[in-house]
Amino acid sequence: MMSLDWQVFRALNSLAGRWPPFDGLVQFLMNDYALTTALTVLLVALWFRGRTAQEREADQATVVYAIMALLLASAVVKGMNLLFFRQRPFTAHDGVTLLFYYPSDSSLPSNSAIVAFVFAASLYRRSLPLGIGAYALAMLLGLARIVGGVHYPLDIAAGAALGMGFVALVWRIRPICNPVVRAVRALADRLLLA
Amino acid sequence: MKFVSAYIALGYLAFATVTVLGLLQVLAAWVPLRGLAFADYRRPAWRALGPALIVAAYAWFFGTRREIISPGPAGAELMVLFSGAVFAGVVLTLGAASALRPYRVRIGLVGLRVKSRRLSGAVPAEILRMADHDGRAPGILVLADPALMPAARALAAQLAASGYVAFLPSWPRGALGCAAAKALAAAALEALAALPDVDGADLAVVGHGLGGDLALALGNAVLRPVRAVVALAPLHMAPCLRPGMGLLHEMTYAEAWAWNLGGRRAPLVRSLAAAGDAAASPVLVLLGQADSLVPPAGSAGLQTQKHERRVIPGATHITLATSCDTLAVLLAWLARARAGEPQVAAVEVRQ
Repeated sequence: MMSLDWQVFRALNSLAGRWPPFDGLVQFLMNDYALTTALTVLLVALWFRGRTAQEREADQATVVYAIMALLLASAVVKGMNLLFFRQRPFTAHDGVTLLFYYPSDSSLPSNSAIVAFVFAASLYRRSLPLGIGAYALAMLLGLARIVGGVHYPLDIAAGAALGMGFVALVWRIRPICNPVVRAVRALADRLLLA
Repeated sequence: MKFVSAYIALGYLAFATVTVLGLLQVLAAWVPLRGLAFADYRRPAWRALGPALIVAAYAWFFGTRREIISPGPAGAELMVLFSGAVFAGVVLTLGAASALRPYRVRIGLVGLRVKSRRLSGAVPAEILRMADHDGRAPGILVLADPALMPAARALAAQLAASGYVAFLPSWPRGALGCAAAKALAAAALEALAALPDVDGADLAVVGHGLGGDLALALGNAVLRPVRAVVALAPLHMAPCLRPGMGLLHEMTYAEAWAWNLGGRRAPLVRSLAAAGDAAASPVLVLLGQADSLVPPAGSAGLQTQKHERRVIPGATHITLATSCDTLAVLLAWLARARAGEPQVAAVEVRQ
């Protein structure tokens, strides 16, 4: 498994460092700001896009579930990282082309992938076009971070699985989460924004 | 919290804020949400504003900050910065859209040969009549929605230009109860009938929004016979009296706060609907096809009165009072009703 992980990483990372415009594109896609902001903006769009009160209620609940899934996933991953640490590919191997700075936290799972896939999975539950767009952005982010040398494919896959898994979990335990949804929407309603 | 680089953090805050501004303009044009709109998005050229803001934000941030691939704010810090950007973006959008509204939508008496006079005293009101008005004319009481006076004033001006003497009472703060509102309307009708240039036997009532509910509720509260009652988008037909963000489909954030009447609107609409007597006069209900507050498809029927109901194509809750189509339907129907022609009862006529 680890050998396959390394081989796929090598194949993708070998694309980096050959052509500066391509490296620039990968840096644009892999950084902490570009695609994460785009995905978060899509979630903001979900809050506002509803044309009827029923649509807004369902859309806004989805946004709150997404934030809850993200907080839950972040807490669990923090705990996991205390027990398990995987070195970054550029630390563990020679000859890795790195297009980014030297992150010092655990490589597995990818925090960026968790955030991206939490948002994508949440958007997909309410809107097929938004969901597909968000999944495309999330996959681009994951791929760019492998090409750029900061994650193994398994890190991204684990992050994606955890992100989607926590969204599924939160939707499964919706009755427990709904008081939070109601409280957030009640606050927004007072501001005429629900 | 470690933002690492203030240069990147502040740059990101500005970038994300402008991106949110752009997103909200995209939504304002696409949903549409008039309360968020900086421009009139019925004009296709303006629809590029939102995408242009987003592209400009990305181009500026990633074009000027080569340090994006060096350590900077991440994780929780990014979440804090983005939350701040959403807050700033939403506040800026709501404020700017409210401030720009007068430049986007102009409601006035431009081009109409109408003169107006203000009355103070027991019934503060405005009287509008044709500038070259001579002799006695039919009188029409225009009951505005307290938060939508400009729209009702435009309607009153159009009616005045069509030969009516229009009487537009203001809603004093104390009139936001059912009995007080009905008393205000009854007193306004008496004041209208007492005007020397008004034919006291030829009176009609038209109301918009909450004014429409009041017009329908008047019934026997007025002593004088009224030849016709017209309600434009009466709110008791709305599926929801607390539309929340739904108000932003119709009006700016500042107008939405005023529309809410400090939470007193819903009880007043309910009490007016409950207190309404069946009017002896024929009743016309006009609904806007694009009205998101009283949508024709989702609106409840009038339960106590036989009425004729028409849907005005393309009209929203506010533009229903200012639409030329509304005026044409209203004037033709009023002419028939005042002539005593038999009205069609309890039918729906869709245009």
